Amino acid sequence: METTLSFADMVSLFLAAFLTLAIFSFLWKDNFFYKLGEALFVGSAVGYNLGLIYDVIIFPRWVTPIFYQYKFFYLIPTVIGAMYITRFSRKWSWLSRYPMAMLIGFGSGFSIPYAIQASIFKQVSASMLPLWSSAGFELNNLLMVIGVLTTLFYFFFSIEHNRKLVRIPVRIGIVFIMISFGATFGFTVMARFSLLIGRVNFLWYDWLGALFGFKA
Amino acid sequence: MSVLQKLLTINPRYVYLVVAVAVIFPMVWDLRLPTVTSPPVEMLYKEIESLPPQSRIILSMDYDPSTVPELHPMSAALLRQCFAKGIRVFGMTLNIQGQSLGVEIMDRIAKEFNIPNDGSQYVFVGFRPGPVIIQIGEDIIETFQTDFQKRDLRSLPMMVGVKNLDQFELCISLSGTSVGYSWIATPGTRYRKKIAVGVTGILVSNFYPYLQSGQLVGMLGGLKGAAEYENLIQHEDKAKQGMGSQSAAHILIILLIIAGNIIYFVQRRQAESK
Repeated sequence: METTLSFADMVSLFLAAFLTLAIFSFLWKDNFFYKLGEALFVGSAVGYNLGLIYDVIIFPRWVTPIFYQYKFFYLIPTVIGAMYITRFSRKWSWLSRYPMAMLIGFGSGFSIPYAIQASIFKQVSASMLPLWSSAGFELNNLLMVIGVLTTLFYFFFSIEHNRKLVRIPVRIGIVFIMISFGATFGFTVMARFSLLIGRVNFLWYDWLGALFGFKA
Repeated sequence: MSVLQKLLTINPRYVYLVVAVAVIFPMVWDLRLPTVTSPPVEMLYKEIESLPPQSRIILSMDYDPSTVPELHPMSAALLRQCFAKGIRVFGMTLNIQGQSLGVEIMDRIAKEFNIPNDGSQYVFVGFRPGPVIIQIGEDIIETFQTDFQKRDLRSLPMMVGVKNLDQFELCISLSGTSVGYSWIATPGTRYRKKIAVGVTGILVSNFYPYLQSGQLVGMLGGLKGAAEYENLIQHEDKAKQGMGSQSAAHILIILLIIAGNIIYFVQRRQAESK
């Protein structure tokens, strides 16, 4: 499908390309274009977020109920929420503890039971694996059990790690931890390059491609 | 100054230049390498394939522009699979900057399939703050009330008969943050819904335990996960385009690590012999 870009599309493409190159110019050294790109990014992100919060939350969830639907009981949470602002006053800042207490109390009360269930109970039960199944000996399960136990050994600090009985499991635990760090590092490298590839892809296919008429 | 010392004190700009070459050249030559599908990606693909047409899923695009290169291709691939199969998609985002990304990708992919934006096949409700994840289990209509275009959700065909999460077969969260844990803990644990995630490369190793425990029915990890998914749906797009550069960059990093280690050990031996 052949699509022709409008003038507005071209302007936005060039602006995006210019800002991308401006940010990349930091790799050479700090300069005016980098600072311009950075300032534009921060300013537009804050402005966008504020506008969106008003449009999605404040207007439909606060302005409309109170001023258009006359639901005045919304003033109760309004007052409680407004107490947050008292943080800026030395005299009245104690008032901000009430909304904070409510939020932390509700948040903890709601999320702790499910977080424990999801991240501890289910994980613990998933690490109790059979070493033999109908298919025979389960090497992966054995590795998993050894990994869990020896890693837990490493984080048991009440016994000196030099002692005979503890030294070997701790060493094995360190090997598992190092493998985990290696995997995380590898994935992090992949993620960082993906971001670079995303911008290069934009510059090559979307910007230069549109300019010179080639595409993927 | 020896060659080794010169290499250790090399101007980092040369390294940036080599990295740039490694990333740019495969793209210029349009180098497409084969992709081997990993089990977590295949699991999600099969899970969606097993859903009957007209099923409903939630696709929560909880990401912002900083993670678009990894997560936007995932959204596109998942939407293509769902629309091709006639699965209805409820789009939302818990990330304030994800709103314009979500509406852009849903409308664009729907257009590819000639699906009108009339709320029969997909709906995008836009951004809502995190706590909605708790409310949607009880009353999804009351929680969102309107979609992105301010249309009453009750008036949209795909929302007829929808009360809460019970009417959805699967929840997928795409994110570069830890919001996936909230999806596992609340809709997954409390409401026993099937959960899948698409995450940036950095988070992949954090979510593997949830896959092994069966709390996730699938996972897409980084650009590679997106490329594998594009492969499965047989529609090559941005992720597959980037895999040539990704592989070249990884080879470069491996070489740099090996070179760094050789230099380190040679220098240590020289210091010991002195």
